[in-house]
Amino acid sequence: MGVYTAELNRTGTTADIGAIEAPASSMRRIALMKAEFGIDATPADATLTWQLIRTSTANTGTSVTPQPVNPADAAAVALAKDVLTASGTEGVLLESVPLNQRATYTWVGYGDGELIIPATANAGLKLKNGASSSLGATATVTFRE
Amino acid sequence: MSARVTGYARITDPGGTREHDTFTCAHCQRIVHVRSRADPASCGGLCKLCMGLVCPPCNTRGRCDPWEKKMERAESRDRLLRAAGLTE
Repeated sequence: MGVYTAELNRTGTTADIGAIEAPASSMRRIALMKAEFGIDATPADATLTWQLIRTSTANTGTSVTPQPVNPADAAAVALAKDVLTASGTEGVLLESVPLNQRATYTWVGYGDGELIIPATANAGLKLKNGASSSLGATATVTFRE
Repeated sequence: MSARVTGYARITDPGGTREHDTFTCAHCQRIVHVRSRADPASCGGLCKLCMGLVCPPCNTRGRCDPWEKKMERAESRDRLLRAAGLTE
């Protein structure tokens, strides 16, 4: 069981920042332990809505290689993607926090609080700024599998 | 409630840093923020069957369907479809 981090950046044309998801085969359960959201644009006052949403089909975007926290761990099975051009099918909204653009939001889950992605093909979690599809945004996720 | 919190949220803005305890709904995994001195009823409830904290919508639903069981059903269905060659 390894712990991995991935930085996801929203520079595309959708409100989606990025996603982590199970592959189509050889999948295993993935537990999201931490998510950090922020805007990397020039500071200004604007309303944002950071969201964490389940997805049940594959997202389309640029692949990001999750980095193992322990360099001795094998590469992650989970897929990380950012600059999403097409979203997977959205499911349950797990988190939605409206904030000012100047704020940074961090969520940490431990024990039973981790968000678990089931070991089913293409199941995933998507990070999104539900209030804007134009602002640059960045999110760092930490997960284990 | 505090003994069962399973996470925290931190908001950092020009006004300072605020932290809230959070828990993850035992039925749907929605993240619930627990504000200090909040009425426990406003945060959801305790499922007396699985003894997990649940979010307000799941509390209102009044039915115990733990997330672990939901995952097992989804994974079982996925395995069946795969064995039958009905997935991509």
